[in-house]
Amino acid sequence: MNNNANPGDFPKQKQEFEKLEELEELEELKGRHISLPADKETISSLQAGDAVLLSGSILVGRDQVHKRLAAALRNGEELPVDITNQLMYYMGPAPAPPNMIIGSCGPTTASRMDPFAEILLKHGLLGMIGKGPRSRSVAEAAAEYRGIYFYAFGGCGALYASCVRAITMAAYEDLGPEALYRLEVKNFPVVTAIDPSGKDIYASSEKTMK
Amino acid sequence: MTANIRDYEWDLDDIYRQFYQAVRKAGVYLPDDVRSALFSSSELSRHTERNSDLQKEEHPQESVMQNNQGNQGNQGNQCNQCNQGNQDLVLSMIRKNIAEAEKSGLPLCQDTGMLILFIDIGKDVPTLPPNLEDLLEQAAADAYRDGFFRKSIVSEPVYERSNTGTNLPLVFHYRFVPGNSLQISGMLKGFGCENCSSLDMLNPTAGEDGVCTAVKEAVNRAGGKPCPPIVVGVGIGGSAEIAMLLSKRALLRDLEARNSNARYAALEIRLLQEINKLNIGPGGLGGPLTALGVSVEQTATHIAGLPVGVSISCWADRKFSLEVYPHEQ
Repeated sequence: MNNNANPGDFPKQKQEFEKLEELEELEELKGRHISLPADKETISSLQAGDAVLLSGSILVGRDQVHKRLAAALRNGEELPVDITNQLMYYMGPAPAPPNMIIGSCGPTTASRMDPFAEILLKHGLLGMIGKGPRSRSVAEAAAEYRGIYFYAFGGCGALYASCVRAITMAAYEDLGPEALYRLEVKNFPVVTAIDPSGKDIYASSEKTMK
Repeated sequence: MTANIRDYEWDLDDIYRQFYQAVRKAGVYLPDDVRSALFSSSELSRHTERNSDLQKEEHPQESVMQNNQGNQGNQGNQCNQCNQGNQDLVLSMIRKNIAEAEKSGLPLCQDTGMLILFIDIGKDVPTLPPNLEDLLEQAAADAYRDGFFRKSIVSEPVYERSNTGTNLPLVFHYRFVPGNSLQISGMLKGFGCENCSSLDMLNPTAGEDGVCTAVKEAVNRAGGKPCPPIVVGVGIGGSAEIAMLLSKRALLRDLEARNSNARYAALEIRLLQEINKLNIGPGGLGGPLTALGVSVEQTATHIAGLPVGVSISCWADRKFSLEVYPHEQ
């Protein structure tokens, strides 16, 4: 029905904010570049609240990938990718239009991956990128293994798509859009939410009502 | 005399086209009222800061008391200041994201949500469009496909959870209203914020303070999860499901419009002010801008109850509304 309606595209709107500063020009981000892969030494000086721009390679995985990685580690199996000194981005993208590298690709809620954070950090993962608060166990694991959790700006899927230079399948192809991917990113903006000393920005900004 | 239904017809292609375009647009462009709330917000937040500083000066005992409550209070105050920088940064990123979405046509957020519709049927509408739900579902599925929106709906909640691949089915809510048109309003509701919904069945004597506490507790529990700055919809009264439904309906209202009842309008303002003192802040990273707006909808309830439903929208508050009329033949 109504296939003959031929709606075509929808009317483009006038673009606002045409003259926004580049990310590197923002005061909070000026000169704060981190090249990936990084190591524990590089991130050791970051403190909860510090904003940085990431450039280089990151892994992408969410619920099912974590379930499999954790199971493999518990069974003493070799992982399909080397996670040593890698950052894991919690994300499930929207489909990519034909002329683009990736669709809208902002962070997903990190707390769902809380049960898997410790085992991955223990086996060499440098840290995680996601949105929202984490349980205490994640901050404790970060402190123990000198790992890090970066906050990526929630809801900013179009912005993050513009930071992606390449995407490749890394493992678990059968999971389709939920598979383990590798992204090449440029000036990918994040804020340190849990630093390698275990300090948690959410814990300090939390305020009880009573 | 009631009009003969044979004298009227609906332009189904027109409904399809309007609805399709509304959905496509909603995923990419933020509505004007939400934009204004966000972009006047940096100023607003500084203003709120100044006000709270002033309050401290005016009520020195009060702030001493707060500090005496222990470290928690102290921490909160300190972070309110040190996190102001993050508030500006998060808002800058949101601004950049809006610009990127406009430029590329990509959806603002990859979670393009569950499409929830509210259809208000004018009582004087002589006949409804035939197969209205099929028509709207076809248009929505086409819009999600063509807009490269993520399809996020699973057909069954517990066991298989298999993706329907079309973002269908839609959620339909109907009601009769005065008038001779069909008003179709909707929201692309992401589940980061939907998971923060809450219902409290308060004691009937809880009053305004009880309502405020329930709403603030819901917002506090949600913390950084629903992607603040949030919009808060509050439904008060009715039965349990009505309170929830009203809270959702409240999210559709223009952020600048206040409740038509003066006391409930004042309640909206009080709630907004108190929520913005919770120091959740944009992205949950602390700061005074936690909510862009609070809308309350109220209705009759039972002598023994005071239901309070809370629905939360992320800053990417993607909503739309369109009105269609039948044509006389």
